[in-house]
Amino acid sequence: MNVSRILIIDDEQECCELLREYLESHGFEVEIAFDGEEGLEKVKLTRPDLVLCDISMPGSNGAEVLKKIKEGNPGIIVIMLTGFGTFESAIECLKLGAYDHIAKPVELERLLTLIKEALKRSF
Amino acid sequence: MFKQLNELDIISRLNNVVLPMQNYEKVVKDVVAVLRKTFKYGKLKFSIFGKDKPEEIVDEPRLCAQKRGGSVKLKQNSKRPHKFNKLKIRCKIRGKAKAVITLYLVNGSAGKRVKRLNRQVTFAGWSRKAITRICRQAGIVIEDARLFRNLQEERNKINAVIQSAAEGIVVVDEKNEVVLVNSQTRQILGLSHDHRIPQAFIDFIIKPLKNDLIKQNKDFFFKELDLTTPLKISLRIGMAWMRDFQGEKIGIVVLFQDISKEKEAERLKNELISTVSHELRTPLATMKEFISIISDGIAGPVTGDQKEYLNIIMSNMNRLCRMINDLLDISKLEAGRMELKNRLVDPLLLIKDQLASFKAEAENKKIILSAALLEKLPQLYVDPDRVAQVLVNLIGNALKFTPEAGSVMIEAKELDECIQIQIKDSGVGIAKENFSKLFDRFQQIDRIPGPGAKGTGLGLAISKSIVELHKGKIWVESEVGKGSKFIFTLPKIEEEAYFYERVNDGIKRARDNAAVFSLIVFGVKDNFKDLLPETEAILKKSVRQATDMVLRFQKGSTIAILCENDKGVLPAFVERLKMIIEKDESLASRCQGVKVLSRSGFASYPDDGHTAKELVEKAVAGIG
Repeated sequence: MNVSRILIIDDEQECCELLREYLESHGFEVEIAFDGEEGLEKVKLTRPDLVLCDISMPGSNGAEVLKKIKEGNPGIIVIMLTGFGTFESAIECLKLGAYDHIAKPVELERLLTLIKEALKRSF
Repeated sequence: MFKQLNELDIISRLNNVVLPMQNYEKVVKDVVAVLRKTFKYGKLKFSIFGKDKPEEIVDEPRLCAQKRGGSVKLKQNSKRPHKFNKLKIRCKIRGKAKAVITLYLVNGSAGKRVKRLNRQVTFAGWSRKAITRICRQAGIVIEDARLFRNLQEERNKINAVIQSAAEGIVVVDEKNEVVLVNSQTRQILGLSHDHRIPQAFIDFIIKPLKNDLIKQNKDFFFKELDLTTPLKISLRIGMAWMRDFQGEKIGIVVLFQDISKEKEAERLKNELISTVSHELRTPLATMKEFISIISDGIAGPVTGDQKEYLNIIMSNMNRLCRMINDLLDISKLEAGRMELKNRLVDPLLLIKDQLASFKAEAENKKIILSAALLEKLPQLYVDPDRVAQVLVNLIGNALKFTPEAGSVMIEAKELDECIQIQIKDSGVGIAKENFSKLFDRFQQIDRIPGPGAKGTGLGLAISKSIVELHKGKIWVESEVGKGSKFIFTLPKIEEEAYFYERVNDGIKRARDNAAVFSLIVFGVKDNFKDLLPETEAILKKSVRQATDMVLRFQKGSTIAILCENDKGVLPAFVERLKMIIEKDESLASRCQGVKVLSRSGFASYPDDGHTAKELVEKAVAGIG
């Protein structure tokens, strides 16, 4: 099986680095984008298998980014991250096609399980 | 050595039977097969006793009959000689269950008694000890399979109950992993039956609920939750800790009940009540007006009888009005739309007003209506009309339910953080079991049967809501035959906090309306401190705008005026107020022409500051 590529879109640099380190140590190839626009660019360029996208970023709305990713590449799995989520916002994202929606701070192990599970389903 | 190895081999074969956790019947069959192959017996009777009813496994007797001339006698015939050797083995299984295994052996030294077998070391090549060990293992294996089957059955039963429950049920373990979700939960949340439970559900619903449960420090609790779009449902949620056999918390059970329909029905009902009662009020007002006109003789002369009948109509219409007002109030209170028009109120005045208005009614019934009031009570910041309504309800009830020649007594006292008002009657009292129902809507507990003005059964419900809206408490103390006491409290104003609250209100209002808010403070000379209340009263009369407020702060030593005047006019305003104080004759006579208000200061939002603290500091600096 090929190495799965993961794109992280989040304006918080530390959070990105932490996730990158963790995911790389588990054998994923990780790309980072710091805002929605850059994220969409990188989706086109690198064609990741999975995107982790923050909901609230300055200048771009996570839900919008999700919508655009799904419009262009319905096959890409998107997992949303959020600091202040409600169940309603989560359901909204799920309806837009997100695979799941998890709260920050992220529990790394749980995220890993979720990613593995999601990737398994898509193959 | 060889035998021992062989024994181990058989024990391990027995263990292997149960390892795949197949169904119970299969395990028994396999165990019996292993035993038969090992001992070459004719029949096996296998009983396991435990907490549950004894389990009996009898191997096919057909095998015994096959033996020429042989027949197996069962226990009942134990006195008869056995043609076959019988070996009865008792063994304990894990302390709880006991197995009795009786082997009817075909092979070996036929005809020998079991007794002899005891002494003999070998039997069909096996020692009795070895047979016991193997049989015990067989018992354990069968017991394991049985326990596993029971567990499975219990689980299936519980699962069926959970899946068919009308409530959504979710079980989460201590690591927040979902252990169980029933179909109703999926339906409530709009998830299809094969949809995985999203992590979002854990993160945004279960985790906050779990935190609530931890904060509440209770074993279980209920709450209501309104989910907005896209789900648009109202849930009643019950939560409880799940504990292991030692009482340690190992997760939570969450119950979801969709109460959207109930809520909607409640809302529609309230809307109906409020619309209907509102519509009813208009024609009633007109009718009352014209009845007054007729009754006053404006439309022509009225005879004495006519006037009396008109009065009856009028009093009934008034009752109708009261009931409609009650309905309107309760629907407003329940919808949370009751707005309090709070202002500073002297509770004594409120009580005295009501005493006066009930005087006639009490005299009619020959009831002594009295009050034990302190001379002075601190002012309250409440909606006077609403608090009066509570008093009317409570005093009215007390008079209504007290027989002739009884007494109704009102007491008011100051406690640490509140004012407590109590209405005590000498009526028939209320039974304890009715206390909780008393404050419910439409509850009329008949204290005395017979005539008496009937109400809507809303008075106490309304009173309770009003008191609670004021952050007070209301309760009843009563005993059948010994009268009742209705008591309610209203929180005291904390002067300093109240002052800052008002300043903040003013700033907020000015900010919202892009207007100005000003604060004026007057210092009073130390030797005139006792003139403060009077000075304050005069200032109250002298301010012009309805929004102007005269307050005291700094432990009552400073008078402040809150107004919406522009900063430019403040000096003139201050001068005018000073003049009024100076020219007041009663004040002047008491201070021999010395100015009471010596120093003053003022500050305005937004020029002098944006917070209450900044404004107060600036203004107080003026009085030094």
